[in-house]
Amino acid sequence: MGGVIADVLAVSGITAVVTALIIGLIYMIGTALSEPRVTLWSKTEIVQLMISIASAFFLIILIQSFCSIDAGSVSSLFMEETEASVSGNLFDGAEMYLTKTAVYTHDVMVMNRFHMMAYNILSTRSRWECEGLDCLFGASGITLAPYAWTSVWSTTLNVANSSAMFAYMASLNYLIVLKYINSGMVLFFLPVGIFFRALPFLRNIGSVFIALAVAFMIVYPLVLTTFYLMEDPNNPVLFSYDPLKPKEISALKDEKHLRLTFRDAFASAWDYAYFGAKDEFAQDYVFDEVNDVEWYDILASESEGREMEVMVLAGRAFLVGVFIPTVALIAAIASVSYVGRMLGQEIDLSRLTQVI
Amino acid sequence: MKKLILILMLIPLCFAGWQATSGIAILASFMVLLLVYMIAFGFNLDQLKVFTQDEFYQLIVTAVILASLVGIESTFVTISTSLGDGKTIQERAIDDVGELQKNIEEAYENVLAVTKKASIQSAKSSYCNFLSTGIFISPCSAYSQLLPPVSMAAQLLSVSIAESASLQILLEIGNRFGFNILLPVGLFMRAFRFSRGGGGFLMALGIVLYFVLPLSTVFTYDLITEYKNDEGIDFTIETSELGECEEGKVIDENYKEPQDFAGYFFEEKLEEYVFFFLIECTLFVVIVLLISITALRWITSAGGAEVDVSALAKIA
Repeated sequence: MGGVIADVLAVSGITAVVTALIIGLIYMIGTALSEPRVTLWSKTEIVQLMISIASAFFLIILIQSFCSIDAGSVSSLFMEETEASVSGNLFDGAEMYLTKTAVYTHDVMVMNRFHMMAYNILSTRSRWECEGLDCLFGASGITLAPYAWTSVWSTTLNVANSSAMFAYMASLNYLIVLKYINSGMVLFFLPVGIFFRALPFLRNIGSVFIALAVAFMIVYPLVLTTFYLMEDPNNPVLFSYDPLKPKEISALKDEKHLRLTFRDAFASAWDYAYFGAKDEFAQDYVFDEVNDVEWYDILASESEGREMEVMVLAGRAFLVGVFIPTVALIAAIASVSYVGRMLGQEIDLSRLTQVI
Repeated sequence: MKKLILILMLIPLCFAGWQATSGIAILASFMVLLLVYMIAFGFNLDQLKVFTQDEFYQLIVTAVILASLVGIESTFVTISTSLGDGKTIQERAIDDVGELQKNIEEAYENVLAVTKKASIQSAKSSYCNFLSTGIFISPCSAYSQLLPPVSMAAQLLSVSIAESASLQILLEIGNRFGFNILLPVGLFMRAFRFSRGGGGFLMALGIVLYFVLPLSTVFTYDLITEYKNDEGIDFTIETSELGECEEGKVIDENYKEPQDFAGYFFEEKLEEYVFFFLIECTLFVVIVLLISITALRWITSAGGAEVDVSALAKIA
């Protein structure tokens, strides 16, 4: 960011000087030709140029202040009895919020997918029961599908998975916008805005550019950092995996043990089953890692998935990945209108939210 | 002059918690504006002086808003803790949403139990063949007709679980950070013209999450609970009613056949199901969120910041 600020200062300075020279030249021509309209225009434009330079200067000072303010100190100002959970400056805070959001929503997606894959495997489980002497010759029997009910779970988990996936993609989208802003959006918008604002017929565009630079450089990261400051590792609110335990989380994120071999299916058939629903060994084989069952307890355990908990996390993922960054975007868009009015231009960017 | 400065410095110490940080935010804004005014005065920049005077006026308005919020908040806390068990309205709202989540989880277990039985029974089939001639029947496949509505109910419940989890987090944010972080940051941003829109929006968000969201949650949930108790609505499904296919019989005569079980669902339990799935699980959260978003729009307008919050309504 320091390098970007230096470049912005240099380019803005050069732009301001060039614009002032152009206006000065036109003033000289106006004076030489005794054209009062031209000289009056030059005087008006030099005032506007001063306002543009003041806006740019103010923005650069703010950016430098944000770079030097420590987010941990700000966090301890608002929150009592907490360790310094945040680090870096205020711009880093915004990036860390969106990075954490992307990781969180991705984890929720993976855990959801684990369940969907598990139930997909279980749904293929079928068995044949003997009925009568004919079955000894393979001539008669009963076909059972003990996990036929998993199709309903798949449907409901699909809903949660779509929500988590949307939250993941939205958080990446907002992260890319932030990275674009941090990488030097202001390097283009500010100097061009200063130049355009001093020219006739282009003042509107110049005002828009400066307003965008101010709002998206200051307000958007500031609001995201505000929500990042709320995260306390001792008592998390936004990025909480509660009610899942750490061992359950790592098991649900590890798809390597998600398999049902022929040997497992054969072993599960020894579970006493007459007609109906027993055959629970197959489910045990799939979910024992999640339930942290030791190998010697496999026969006695009744392992289950964590579908309810994962659906709760999908709801949270939607809030942190979509709702909160949208709040930041709305705040930035509202600021664009105010900065535009300050620069003498009515700007309405409310339709930008339709991209969401 | 020294006494005045000392009194000004001591004022924040009179408050506790969010009042202190909000007071510091106002003071910090005042210091910044004072600095700008001094520069304008020193360089004799009349336009900047007028601009700064306008901002001082806005700062006074912001301080008045803060003072009124202090009064409203203490009254609010007094009334809410005196309503019953000494809990604040925010804590009651969080408890209500927790209770709703438990109800939904119980209903989910019920729906899953019916699904398990119905699916397994419907998937049973028998075959018999002799010298390349045989029969294959699936005598309990009628149970599969119960699955589409049950599957829809399960989907509704999964959406409700996610919605109620989001609502719970919003209530937690409002309770812990609405006035501790969002309000002071909003106050600070509102003091400057370029960030007035964003600051006003953050302030309104803090107020809505702290006051409006828990209030609407508690009142709406109390309405629903009262109606449930008055009408005696108790959402349970008797899964033991669902029979099994046994050897030699299509369906055990001691249990309900699929069409009777469907009748049990739709004739005896329909009102309860509709109330639970549509009103308690789905409409409750939607109403609460719409009230909050409407309040957010109104409060931002009242604070002088016209903000288009329709995007949040679309997400909700």
